Amino acid sequence: MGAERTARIRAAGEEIRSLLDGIEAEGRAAGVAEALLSDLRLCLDELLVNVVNHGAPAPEAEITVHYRLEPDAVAAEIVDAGPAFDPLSLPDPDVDAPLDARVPGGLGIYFVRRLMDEVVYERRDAFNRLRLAKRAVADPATI
Amino acid sequence: MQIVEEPFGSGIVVRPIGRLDSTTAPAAEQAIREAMTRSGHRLLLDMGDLDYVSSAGLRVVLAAAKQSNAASGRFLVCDLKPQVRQVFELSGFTRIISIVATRAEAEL
Repeated sequence: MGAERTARIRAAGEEIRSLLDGIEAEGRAAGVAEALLSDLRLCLDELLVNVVNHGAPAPEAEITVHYRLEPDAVAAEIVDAGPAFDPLSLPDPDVDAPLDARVPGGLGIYFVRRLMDEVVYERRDAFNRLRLAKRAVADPATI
Repeated sequence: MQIVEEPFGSGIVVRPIGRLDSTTAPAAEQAIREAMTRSGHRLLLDMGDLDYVSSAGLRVVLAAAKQSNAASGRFLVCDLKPQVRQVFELSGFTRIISIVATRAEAEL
């Protein structure tokens, strides 16, 4: 089992990218499957941007990210002190709608739902906690 | 983010380089909107140098498609890398955006 790491960033867009670059580099060093790492990066990006845009009370506010990187599994938890908000309560966007009927929004959370095996929201001790996890799909060649 | 623009066919090709995410999307959206207008709404978005696109980046693509559509223009994207193709497929953009494999196959 890989050790759990913790990172703290200010609730500002430019801090998200450097955090994700760091997690990606650590993941590569730990031998995490590229596809898993790519999915984790996208999902963390979508959720953190969501917290910054809608949840966090101020740019000085802190967001905490706990994460665990293993060759065949990744997990993370995002903790913020913003107003209670469950992003999973949003309806899925209509991905079958024609161009004219498309409205921006909702795709980020939809990606998280589709790409992760587990996504759990919890409001506890005045913090939003969003937990996500995914295991690598077993390679048929190794079974 | 660096965005390279050059004439292409009867319009313009725009090639953003790097990551199209929430930090780069506003500048990219403005650059593409202006290029779209200058090109007479005939624009190819070459995604071959984009390693990563998030939902904020897809918003830029959607805005370009709608702008072109409203002017009865032509908007194509080409050269989707694996992660970019993945988000296009998940979001259903493969059904509403005209995609060609390479720039050589694009006609404007």
